Amino acid sequence: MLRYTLPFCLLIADTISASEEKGGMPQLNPESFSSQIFWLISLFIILFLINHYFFLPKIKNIRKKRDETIQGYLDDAKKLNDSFNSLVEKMNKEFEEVKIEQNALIKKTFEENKKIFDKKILEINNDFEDKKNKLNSDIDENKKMITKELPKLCVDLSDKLYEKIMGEKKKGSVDDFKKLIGDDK
Amino acid sequence: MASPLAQFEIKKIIEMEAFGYDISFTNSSLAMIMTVVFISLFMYLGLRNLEIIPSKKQSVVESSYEFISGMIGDNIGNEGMKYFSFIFTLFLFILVGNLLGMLPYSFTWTSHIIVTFSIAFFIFIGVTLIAIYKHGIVKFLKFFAPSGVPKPMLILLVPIEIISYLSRPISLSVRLFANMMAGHTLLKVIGGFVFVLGANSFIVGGILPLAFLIALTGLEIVIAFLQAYVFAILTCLYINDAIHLH
Repeated sequence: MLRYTLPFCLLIADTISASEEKGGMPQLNPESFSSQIFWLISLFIILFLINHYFFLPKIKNIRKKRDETIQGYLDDAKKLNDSFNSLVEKMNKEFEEVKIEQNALIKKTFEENKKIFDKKILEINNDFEDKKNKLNSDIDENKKMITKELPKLCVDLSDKLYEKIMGEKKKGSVDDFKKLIGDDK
Repeated sequence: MASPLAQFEIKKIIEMEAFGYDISFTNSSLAMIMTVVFISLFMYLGLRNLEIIPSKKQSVVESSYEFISGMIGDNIGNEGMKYFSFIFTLFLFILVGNLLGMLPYSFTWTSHIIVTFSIAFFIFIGVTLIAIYKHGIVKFLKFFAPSGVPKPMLILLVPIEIISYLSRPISLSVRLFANMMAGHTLLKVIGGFVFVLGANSFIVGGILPLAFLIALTGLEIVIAFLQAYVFAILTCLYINDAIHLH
């Protein structure tokens, strides 16, 4: 408030005193007005012309150049980004293709191996079955042979035991042995 | 002790005359020349070695450019860029004039009403001419009769609008002049207190007014910037009114 009231108080006081005596506020002395206006206009025009034709175009130019440089860098970056993106896209596409190809190859290999494996299993099973059958027939044969031979062997063994115990030879009959054990049918 | 107003006295350095008018080179003219030299030097040093990545000096100059450019962009728009050089010069001229006035033994030419009024009057005439040139005299005169106002009210409003328009150069010039003059007078008065109280109380009494004086000097520097800004921004608003008449 003081800032605004002070000059006006001084202005009023000075206007009153100026009528009484010379002096007071130098701002109100009209003697210097023409000189001040002349120098103000001259110097302001000079400064305006220096700024307008010399300094400001320089600033405008450098700012324009800077904007162009930044725009250039941005364009380059955009181009690089685009080429990078297309490269990534191409790479992804190739990767997908390779992935599909690999999957097909794995599937094919798996199926082939499965076929071979199944064939082998079948061969082993057949082989095993053959061997089992042969073994069974061998066992049956041996069993039959043993069943056929067993009474004779038993009679021979009992003859030998009788001879050893009694000291005389005696020839036993297979038919009697069979009757004895109830297998004469 | 000298009057606080003595600092505003115009002293002739070289007497000159042209067409019967006194155009003597005075302390005020010297301060104005110093202002022009300082601004030119500031611009020259800042723009001496222009680089795309600016140096510190270049940055300072460019930020002042950006500051004014932003001010015009915000207040007038792109159409205002035609007046960039004028507003830029005006802002720097007043700012440096105010700031140089803060130096001891210098002269504040912005504290003279005739100087501030001349600038304001030139702006007023320029703005009026721009408005008439852009919109024609009829549309310009309609500016004083706001649209949508009942006709009986116009009898009251039109004179108010005209007075308000005509008082623009006065308010613009008095604002700057009064601020500068009041600030410098106050500094001088407080400075007088420092001297008188200090001399009468073995320096001790001068400490408080000295602290006050230092604080006021800081405030004055802020005001120097603020007044230049206000002057420039009001000029922008007046130009905006002239271009966009509303």
